Amino acid sequence: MQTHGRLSGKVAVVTGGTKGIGQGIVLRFLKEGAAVVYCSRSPENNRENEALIAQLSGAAERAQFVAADVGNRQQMEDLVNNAAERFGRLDIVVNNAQGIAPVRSIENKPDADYRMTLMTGFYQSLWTSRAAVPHMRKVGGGRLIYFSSHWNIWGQPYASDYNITKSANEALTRSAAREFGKDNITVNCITPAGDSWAYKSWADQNREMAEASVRQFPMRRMGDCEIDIAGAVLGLCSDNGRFITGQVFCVDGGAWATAPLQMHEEGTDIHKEHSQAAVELTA
Amino acid sequence: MGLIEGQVAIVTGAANEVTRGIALRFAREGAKVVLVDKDDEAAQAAARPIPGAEARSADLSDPEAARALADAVVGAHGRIDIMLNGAHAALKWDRLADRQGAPDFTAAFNDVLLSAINMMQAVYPHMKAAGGGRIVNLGSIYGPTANEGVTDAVTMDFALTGLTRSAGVEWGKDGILVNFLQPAVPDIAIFADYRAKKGKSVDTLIANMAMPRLADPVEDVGGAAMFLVSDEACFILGHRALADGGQHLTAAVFEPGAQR
Repeated sequence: MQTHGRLSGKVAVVTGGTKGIGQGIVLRFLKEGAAVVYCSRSPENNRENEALIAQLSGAAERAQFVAADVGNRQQMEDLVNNAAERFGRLDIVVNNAQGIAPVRSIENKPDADYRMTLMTGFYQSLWTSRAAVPHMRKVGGGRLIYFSSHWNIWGQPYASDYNITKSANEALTRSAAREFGKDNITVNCITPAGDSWAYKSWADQNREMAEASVRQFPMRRMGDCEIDIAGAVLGLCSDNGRFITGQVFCVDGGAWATAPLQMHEEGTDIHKEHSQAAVELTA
Repeated sequence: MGLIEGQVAIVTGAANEVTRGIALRFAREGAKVVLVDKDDEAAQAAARPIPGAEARSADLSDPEAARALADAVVGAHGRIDIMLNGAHAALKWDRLADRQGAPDFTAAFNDVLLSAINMMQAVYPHMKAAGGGRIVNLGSIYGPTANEGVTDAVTMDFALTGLTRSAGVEWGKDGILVNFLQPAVPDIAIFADYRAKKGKSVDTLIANMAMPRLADPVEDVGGAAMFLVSDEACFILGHRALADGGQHLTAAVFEPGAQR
């Protein structure tokens, strides 16, 4: 992987930065010279990152872990404001994290799932953007990156809460692009197909379907979190992305065009260890 | 070290000022650029200000000419990493009902669509043998938006959209990523002429755009092109990228029905 100092001198916030795609973004941004403040719910989740970042020359002083819940408004505002204070500016916010509820049909899905999913996804993006924009104006511009999903495009059964949240993120992408464009802030959304913890936990339980699915990818593979998914995020956040805004990018080896099959049994908790049954409503 | 240091890029449609901006950006990032146009003088003039660039002329609506060009570039420089299909046809400003029968899309069809198909097929074996490559087809804001009298441009834009998607799906497994770049109205000489005549309507619409300014061919459009050809978009294919500051979300049509 080439490094070019593409984010040298920039300060970034990444939510959910200790595993999978978020971890890939944190490591890639650090390698490209950015200072990165990232969060996860528990400090225990940060052990792997600590070890990886210690191996990157000069990165440790540019990296800061914060234990925070992305469904908590105060904690999200503090995350952004403290990052700007600690490193003297703020240029980039990447809203990667998302709480996921067990898959359930619309008829059986409790309202609490919709609330939790919206809080940890859409509201997270909204709260951090509101907090970040004044800091970005001070430095003459910035980058906001939200996340969507193929499930949203395809109306994935039993994940209506998740799909609705991702639609909300896409709508926020266009509105925020138009409201903040005059401040030289670009806003884009990523639809990833990465070899993330969420994908792996599904693929482990559905090996045959996972293999069949990946054969339908034009590139015949899932994306590497740091090389492939974080590569696109890096491009949009670097100078190359300065006039790209209000768009949704499928960073997925072309899967958006072929719609590979992924099905779930209703009632299974496909991300058991990471699911949140409910979240405190803090809005 | 540039982002595409040592790579070889073919850029067609060299007479187009936006295409030249992209070519300059590629050269700045370390690529050897081969500029191509039907008109030899236009190709020479385009190559002159770009460091290390080379000019070639060819009518790429002829598949043999396209193949000969690709083979000649590989012969001279050993490889083709990037193919940017930037040829454009001048707008005719014909309305569909102006004439009975099929509208005359010959120029747009030959210079834009057929030339892109021919060059894609011509570079494919070279890129496949090298383990991959990047192909960028260049469209315009006529496609994401429309005006009266631009049926030729909008139709070709949608044809390129389909071509990009299909080729992307077929060639992804070869590591060849095909994408579609749609730039906004650029800050170039022909647009300055239009703005001089229609200043008020242009100013009103620019003020309403997400990023209220015209596109710079090198920094804005060239930057988005770099996103697509560098290691950044290494997992994106068949896709469009608008280098337009959000223009597609708002009214990019300066004056409906106005002929430039």
